[in-house]
Amino acid sequence: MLLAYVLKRVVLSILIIFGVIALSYVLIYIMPGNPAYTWVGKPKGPKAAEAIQIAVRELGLDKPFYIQLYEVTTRFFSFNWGVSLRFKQPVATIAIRSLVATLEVLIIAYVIAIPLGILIGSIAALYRSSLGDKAIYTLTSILIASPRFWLAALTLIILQALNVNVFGRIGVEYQPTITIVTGSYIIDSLISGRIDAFLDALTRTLPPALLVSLYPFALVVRIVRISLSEKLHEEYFRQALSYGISGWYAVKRYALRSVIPVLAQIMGITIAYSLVDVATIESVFGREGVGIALAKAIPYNDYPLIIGLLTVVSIAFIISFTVADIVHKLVDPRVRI
Amino acid sequence: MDINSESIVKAEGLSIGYETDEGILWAVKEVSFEVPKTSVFCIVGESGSGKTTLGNAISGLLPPYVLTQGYLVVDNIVVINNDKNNLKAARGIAVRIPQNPSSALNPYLKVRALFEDVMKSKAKNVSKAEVREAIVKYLSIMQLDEEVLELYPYQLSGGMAQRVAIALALAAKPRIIVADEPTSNLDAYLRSSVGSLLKRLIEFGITVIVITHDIVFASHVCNYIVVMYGGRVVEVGKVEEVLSQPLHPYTMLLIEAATLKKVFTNSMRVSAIEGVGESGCVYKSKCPYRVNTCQAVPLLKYVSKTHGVACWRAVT
Ligand SMILES: Nc1ncnc2c1ncn2[C@@H]1O[C@H](COP(=O)(O)OP(=O)(O)OP(=O)(O)O)[C@@H](O)[C@H]1O
Ligand SMILES: [Mg+2]
Repeated sequence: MLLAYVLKRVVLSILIIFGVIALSYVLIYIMPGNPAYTWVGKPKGPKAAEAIQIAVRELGLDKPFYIQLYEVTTRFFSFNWGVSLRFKQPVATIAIRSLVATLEVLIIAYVIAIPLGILIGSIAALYRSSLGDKAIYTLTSILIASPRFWLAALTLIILQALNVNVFGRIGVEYQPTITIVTGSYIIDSLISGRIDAFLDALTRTLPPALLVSLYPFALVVRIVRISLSEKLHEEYFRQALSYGISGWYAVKRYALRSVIPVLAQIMGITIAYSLVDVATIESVFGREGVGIALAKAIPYNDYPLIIGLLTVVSIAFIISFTVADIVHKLVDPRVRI
Repeated sequence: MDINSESIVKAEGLSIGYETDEGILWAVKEVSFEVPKTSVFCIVGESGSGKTTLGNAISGLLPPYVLTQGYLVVDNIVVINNDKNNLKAARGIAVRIPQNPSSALNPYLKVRALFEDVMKSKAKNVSKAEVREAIVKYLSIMQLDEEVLELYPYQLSGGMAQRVAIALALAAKPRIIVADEPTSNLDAYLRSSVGSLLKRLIEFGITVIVITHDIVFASHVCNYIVVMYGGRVVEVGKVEEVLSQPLHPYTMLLIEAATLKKVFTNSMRVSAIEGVGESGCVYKSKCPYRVNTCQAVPLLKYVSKTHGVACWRAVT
């Protein structure tokens, strides 16, 4: 039954992804002017006509619309997303490399934020209105309101003053020593067996990841604090105590568990928000990433790249929402979609 | 108080209060009684008379902001010693059966997992086979199919959930089971079957404390009865004694109302303004036999070994 749900949910997501791809294609259509003309960067001069001709064929503009949709989908899954006007490289290469770089930061940030947030939030809930709870509350208020861009700059300056180099994704000296498999230096350095390169990549990723984690961490603490203290008054929690189930075990199984579905849902959405955070923080730390790539593509009217990046980000969102829903279902048997 | 058999719960001058905006609300006032081992002991009284508060004290479930006076001993553990309390110690020894079992079973866990949690909390290193065997035993006592183990609580009917809750209580191997209004959500047929199930628990060496406002139900399942009014015990004794020779005017009224099936409106809410020992007999404003002495609180006096009453009329 659970498997059926997961399957259904995954199929639904795949359908949505198809929709996103189709929509991204429609974006090309509604671009100002002749789509083919825009797609190749509004060429001028003798070769212009030829270039536009190629674009027309590449975009399939000479064919019926349903064939065009079919082609755009197959093109997407063969990673033939066009060529970036600015970087003169395949869009798929740039978009995926940027996404991996961004995910590196985002995933580490959430792996830190969620468990730590649950722990601190639980402590606050169990010792509600104690001094510790008040301190936690104040801290999270500050974190939620803190200007992360400014904090990022400050962190970079301090670390550089301490002679810790965290600029970029990996030191240039390590770059040639590792084979690129996933595009994540952290993972690839491990695959290549280069612990030194791994540590370097990790040290450079941690500060931006920690900064990105501040917001989701504070949010998790707040959510857990408020909903857990509510659950502690729940009849079934008190009943569990009466049956003699005690301490953290009762809190974990009979109170915290019911907080997870809410948390999963909110985290699915918060990740989308964090992407904005990642973009600014990445730019401060001189890392590549989706944010930077978009910022560079937009002033150039680099439509192939813009659309490629937006599609990739949308798919990442859909996947995170799907995961959130599946976690929700795993924990709460009453959910039916 | 002098009851022949050994007692398992003993309250002495026990008062329990909640802090409210208007001041301290004493929901239970200077209560003294003993619950004999392996008996069915009923606490009877109308809404707001402090029954749940008393039951929660015995099962260690009072909220942390509660105020206490007097003593409460549960299975030789001092749970309340004036303003000090050790409520945690009573949990698992005196287990409460919830009034509304559907909201008292964790909706996120299957019944099997609930059983495993309860049993593991009692004995850390029981084998899986032992757990399984014990679960089957408790289910059969409660006349439940093994299929319920694979269900989530929301998939159980009210009556099934009630029996699962009792089976879980048995799995906790308690000395005492406190059933707070165990029948309020059940229809007439289920009511009598729960009644006889509760009586059967004595066979397992368990003392059963039943909280109810239904004196007829109490007379069917109980050996002993205490009648509460406005947070005070007004009468206590063996069921036969209390029912055949009620001494307190309030008990008389309860019995009369039950036998005549009269709609019973004799509400008296305790208020936060009163102190523990103030304003005399709790029943004086409603009592048809009120006299001047009722301005002072009547103490519980015993007319026989087991039968006590807190009324100035009965003492003289
Ligand atoms: N947690 C609480 N905080 C404050 N006051 C409470 C609390 N629980 C109960 N009271 C008050 O204590 C008094 C006795 O309540 P209690 O629930 O013990 O009565 P009861 O006899 O069980 O009533 P019922 O038959 O309605 O269940 C009531 O006036 C009630 O408002
Ligand atoms: Mg009650």
